[in-house]
Amino acid sequence: MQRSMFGLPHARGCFALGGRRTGSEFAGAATAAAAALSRMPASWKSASLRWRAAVCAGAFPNWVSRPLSSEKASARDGHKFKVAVIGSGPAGCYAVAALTKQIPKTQLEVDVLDELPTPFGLVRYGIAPDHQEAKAVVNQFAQSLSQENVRFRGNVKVGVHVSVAELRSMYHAVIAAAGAQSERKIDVPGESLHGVLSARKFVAWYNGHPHFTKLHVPLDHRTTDVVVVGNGNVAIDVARILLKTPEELARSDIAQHAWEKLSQCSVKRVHLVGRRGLAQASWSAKELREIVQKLPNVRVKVNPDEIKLSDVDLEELEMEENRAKKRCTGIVQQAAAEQESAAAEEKRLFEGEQQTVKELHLRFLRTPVLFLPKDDDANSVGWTQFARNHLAGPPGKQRAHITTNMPAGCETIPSTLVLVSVGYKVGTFDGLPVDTASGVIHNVKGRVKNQTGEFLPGLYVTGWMKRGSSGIVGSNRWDAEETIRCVIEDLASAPLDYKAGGAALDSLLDIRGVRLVDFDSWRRIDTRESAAGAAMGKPRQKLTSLEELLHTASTDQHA
Amino acid sequence: MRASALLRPLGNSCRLPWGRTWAAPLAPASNLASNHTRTWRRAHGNEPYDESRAITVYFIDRDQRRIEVKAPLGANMLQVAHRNDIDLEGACEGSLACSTCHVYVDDKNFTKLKEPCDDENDMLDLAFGLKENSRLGCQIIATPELDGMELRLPSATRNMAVDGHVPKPH
Ligand SMILES: Cc1cc2nc3c(=O)[nH]c(=O)nc-3n(C[C@H](O)[C@H](O)[C@H](O)COP(=O)(O)OP(=O)(O)OC[C@H]3O[C@@H](n4cnc5c(N)ncnc54)[C@H](O)[C@@H]3O)c2cc1C
Ligand SMILES: NC(=O)c1ccc[n+]([C@@H]2O[C@H](COP(=O)([O-])OP(=O)(O)OC[C@H]3O[C@@H](n4cnc5c(N)ncnc54)[C@H](OP(=O)(O)O)[C@@H]3O)[C@@H](O)[C@H]2O)c1
Ligand code: FES
Repeated sequence: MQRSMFGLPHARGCFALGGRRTGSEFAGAATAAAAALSRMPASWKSASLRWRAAVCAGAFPNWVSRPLSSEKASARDGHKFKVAVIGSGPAGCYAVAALTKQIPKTQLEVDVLDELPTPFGLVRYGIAPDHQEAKAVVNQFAQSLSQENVRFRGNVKVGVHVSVAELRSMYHAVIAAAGAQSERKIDVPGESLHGVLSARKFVAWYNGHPHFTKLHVPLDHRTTDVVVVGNGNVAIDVARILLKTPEELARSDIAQHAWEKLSQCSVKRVHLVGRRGLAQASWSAKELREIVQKLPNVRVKVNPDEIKLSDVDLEELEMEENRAKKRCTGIVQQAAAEQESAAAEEKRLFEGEQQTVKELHLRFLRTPVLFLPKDDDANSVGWTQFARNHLAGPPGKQRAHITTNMPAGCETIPSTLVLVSVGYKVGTFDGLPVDTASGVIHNVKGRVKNQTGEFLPGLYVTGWMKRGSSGIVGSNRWDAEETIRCVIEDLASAPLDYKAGGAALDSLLDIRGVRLVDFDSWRRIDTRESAAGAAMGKPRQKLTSLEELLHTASTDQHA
Repeated sequence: MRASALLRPLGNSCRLPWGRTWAAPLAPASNLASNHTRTWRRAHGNEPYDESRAITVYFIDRDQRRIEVKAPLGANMLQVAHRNDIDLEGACEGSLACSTCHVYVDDKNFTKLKEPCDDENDMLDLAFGLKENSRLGCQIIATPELDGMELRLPSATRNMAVDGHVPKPH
């Protein structure tokens, strides 16, 4: 069976997909439509042609073909397919792109809601401020969000200003793409000490997320050692931000409050600690190469005993899916082999100016078991105790097990700041069934299920909410397309009743006194931030308080 | 932003987040060869490509259609794809930071390409549906010897599990 990538350029794929869940009487029509569509000339490039063809072929119930006979009428009687997308991060933006690619403008209305006045989710508040090239994707997202049948509705928190149930009553489909707004925990005694923070909060703080500007981050002249728990890309991001020089960071769009703190603190060592071995670290080569090889002021320290590869590791690294891990292993092994000569070279180069050299300690096979307070401050973390681990299990499935006799065999590392970087999760989301074990919304291919396993019609999920905190920006494209395939399959399988859509949303929000930020208002923020940044020689100077953001959004700069 | 820019990724010229202006291909041209009057500007500079000197490249899209296009010498395959309305993603706009422009190159031409640099290999590691003949489209530059090259777009029929999602061991 041919499965094509999108639904309707792709209509064939959309009808041929297995696992249809409703509308058995419709299956016959769908088969007929599939046959008709397969006869369509391949040169029919436009999605709208395919859409029409699908309608003519009887794939769609009457409501669709009726408005098609007169598009003006369709606009008048409101028989458009109305969709609300919760969240304007990569998943939400790719969902919009997939929808608008497949459904003609005249038959589709999409509202994209975000709790923040600013769109793009983690592209703005997650991706590191010194990785501007990875943020270039916002140009394409902006194009998706500023199409004439798409509206951005910023500063609207679903669950507070409007509920999921209300959205479901106003729109035909609600696509949840609100990301993972909480973090995994490690349950280690002492976690509540000041200075033990999740990397998620630290990242949001340095990226100027308005909810995190007041976060207490203990970075000052006494902060010499920072422990980062976890061996993923987020761990590398936070370590790099701590290791880079203030001059380097000044060229990024890091939040001003974070830059000021970071340039005054005296971090000397960052300990990046993984519970498993080098072969299992989940970072990617580009990020690892940058922090290990490309930061001139950073000396990498590796304990050769910790990076010895077992036979199982070697077998694991030969597995096809571990190509990336193998390259990463090579990068660390090379750094380990060169550390002696690098140290000598550095001594020569930096003789007399030791201040500028910082150390990155790559540590493996260590699990934090206890956070201890500072000697002179019982409320703040000063030390982290780690147990040593060994790995057991078949290749690809090795797990860490503590080998240390506790507590005697533990290793204690000084740490005035601990950043726990072990992944994000959804937490709770009012109106959506969260699977607490995996930290995602219950779903099958993007169709949301409740706790008892029944599908909730018209409710879908995509992005980190759907699959957990994994994957790069582009991964969300495939993910969103899978969800949108389901949306279109379901759209084709049931009659579409009338929904009030965006007009109803706007009046409800108006009654509730919500200050809406639309896409043009966001552009005002964007323009002001870019101009302020340009004056300072940086890509952008972010506004970091909600008041400032809302004020700028509502102020016409030319007035 | 101009309305026409909304229709396609990478419209005429767009402002990168850090303020640099990127002069992307002009409006879509379904047949480059027949439209020499259009000026197609280089990605990082203002000199136009010499469109009279172009090679032929075939894209196999996700519906298995084989689309013939012209690629001016010096242009990269992400630009060529966008210029011709081919749905190749270029999330980082060709700055080797995303891997969404991943394509499969036909065997004959694959061997003619310069070895990927470390940065390209690093990004390829993250590409969806990586194969032996995978390359990043934004890094393949049209040269005379690549005339007739065939580039296949990966399709998303694979399980999401390959998509960077590794189930957690514990
Ligand atoms: C620190 C960090 C760095 C990263 N760096 C990179 C990188 O360099 N390159 C790369 O390719 N990928 C990177 N990623 C991965 C990438 O950011 C994610 O894959 C992607 O952002 C996930 O998209 P999403 O839309 O599911 O979630 P998000 O991006 O989190 O978007 C969710 C959106 O929903 C909104 N929202 C949340 N709750 C509500 C609510 N109740 N009502 C309304 N709106 C709501 C949020 O405000 C947000 O805008 C990074 C991730 C992190 C955490
Ligand atoms: N530049 C980029 O492209 C970029 C930047 C940032 C993020 N991202 C992406 O965003 C996603 C999220 O990144 P991430 O770094 O948060 O997640 P991640 O890659 O899943 O890394 C999580 C790390 O935490 C460890 N861990 C998990 N539970 C633990 C526990 N209980 N105790 C100790 N350690 C534990 C994991 O070890 P185990 O392996 O043992 O579980 C792993 O090392 C990733 O897909 C990443 O690639 C990309
Ligand atoms: S477009 Fe991002 S790597 Fe090619």
